Amino acid sequence: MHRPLPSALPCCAGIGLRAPHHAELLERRPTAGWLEVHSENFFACGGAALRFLETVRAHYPLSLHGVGLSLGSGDDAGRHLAKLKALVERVDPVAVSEHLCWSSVDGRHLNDLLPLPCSEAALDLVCARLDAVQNTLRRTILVENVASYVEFADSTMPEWEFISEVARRSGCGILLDVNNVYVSACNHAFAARRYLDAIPAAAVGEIHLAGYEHCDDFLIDTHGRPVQPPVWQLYEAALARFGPRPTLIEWDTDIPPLAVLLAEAARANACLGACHARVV
Amino acid sequence: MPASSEIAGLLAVQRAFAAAVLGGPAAAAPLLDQLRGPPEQSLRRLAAYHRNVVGNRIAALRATYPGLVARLATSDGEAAFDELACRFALSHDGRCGDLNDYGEGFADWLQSTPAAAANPWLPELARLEWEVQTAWSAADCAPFDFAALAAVPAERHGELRFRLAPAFRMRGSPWPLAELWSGVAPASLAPQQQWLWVVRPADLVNVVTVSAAEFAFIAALTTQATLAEAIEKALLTDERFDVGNTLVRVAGLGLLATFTISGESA
Repeated sequence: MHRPLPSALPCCAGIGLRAPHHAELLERRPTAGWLEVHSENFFACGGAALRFLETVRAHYPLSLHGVGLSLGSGDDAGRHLAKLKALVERVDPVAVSEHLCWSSVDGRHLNDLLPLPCSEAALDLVCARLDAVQNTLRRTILVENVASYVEFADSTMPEWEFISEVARRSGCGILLDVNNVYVSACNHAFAARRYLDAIPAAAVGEIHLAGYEHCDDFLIDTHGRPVQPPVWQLYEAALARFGPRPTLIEWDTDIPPLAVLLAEAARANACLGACHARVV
Repeated sequence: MPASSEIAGLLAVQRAFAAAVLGGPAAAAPLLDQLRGPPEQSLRRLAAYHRNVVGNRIAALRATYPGLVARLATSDGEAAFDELACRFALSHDGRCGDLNDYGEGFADWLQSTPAAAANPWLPELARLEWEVQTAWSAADCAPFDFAALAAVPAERHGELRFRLAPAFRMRGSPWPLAELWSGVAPASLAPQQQWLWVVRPADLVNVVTVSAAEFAFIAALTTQATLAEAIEKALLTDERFDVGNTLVRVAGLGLLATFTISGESA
């Protein structure tokens, strides 16, 4: 069952807020449609980080984006989820999101966004955990497709079918990372447009854009470069397919000056503006 | 939830994946049969996950231990910290989904390394930096109620028991940790007994040196000793202990959270 989409994010471009930009953001208060932070960086019980986030929340729409809940894991996530719940209650974000991946097994945490087999077993596990997460947080969350470098022999369906089914069964929204779609498409030799065509438009509550890098014969999702031309093209195709969606510029390594992120956001806004015009 | 046999199969794949990512090609064989594509291609791609996992762990350690990073760069070269961090990362899994907590066992591990034999202050500084990190994220507490304290009759002051701010930490060390932490220690380091408080007044974490008597005084308060008992401990350490000045310092650094007297809370 699809509940109403959780993403009340403004339908414009936002940026991923990272530590090197914290001071400048508060000092300059630049125009940015909205901001997204990694939830785990604010799991503190108190102190300056939380007060900073509350100040940010007072001035910008805020999205909490998790990297450690491990939705595809059998491990107990109760402590992690309790911290996320406390943070959600404290800052009342406009949106909450996590990744469709796993990162721990038998209590062994790898702290990376690892790919899942697209199987019925993984689907059942993810949906059961999403139910627990959404019931605990008392809100619908968005789930993001991750970039992958390997594919499992156990997979019984393509990833676009897997994430669509996760959304249908759990009622979660989809955070569609267009860069990740492109990276996985190149790595596994499928047509990225086919992925877009299979995703239910009504479930897409947010889009991510980031940079990838080449490594040997495959692409890696590094978040350390500008959004690359093929991803901009795919983004425009995604907007044509889904309509305007809140869009985030993510940068996590080799983080450039804030102005660079804002310029990328301005480019995304131009795409969104053109899409709005077509829709009208 | 999926049937237990289906879950078992999924978990088996994840165990094999974790072993391959952390153990490298030698540990990848059980996983390779479960991946599509030629084994050589899978190994190259699994190496990218290996680099991510180890790199993320090293980055987390660098963020938690900036004092160690800086000091080792000066004394042993720019790569010295990363070499230690890499060895730790390859032998220690994360304990939770928050990478900010990854460095918890780093000091104890350092203690057993040849690096610590050559630089005995290494694990000491690591323990202090971990305390700084936990102080940074500790719970807030309401401002101390000095008006309520002032209303306590003087003849009952000795019965007071204090609860300290959640962000407060304390550490004694035979090395000049305060100077190491703030990056002003001399290149040639000599042992020097220090008593330290980690404090968080106005949200900024700081490390301050105190006297042995002040340290003993606060240590007693942390065990719920009465004010009279804490003063006695401090005077046993140093008969010149000045309780008035110490209380002013304690108050100024925001160490006090609440007090009780004869079982009543303030």
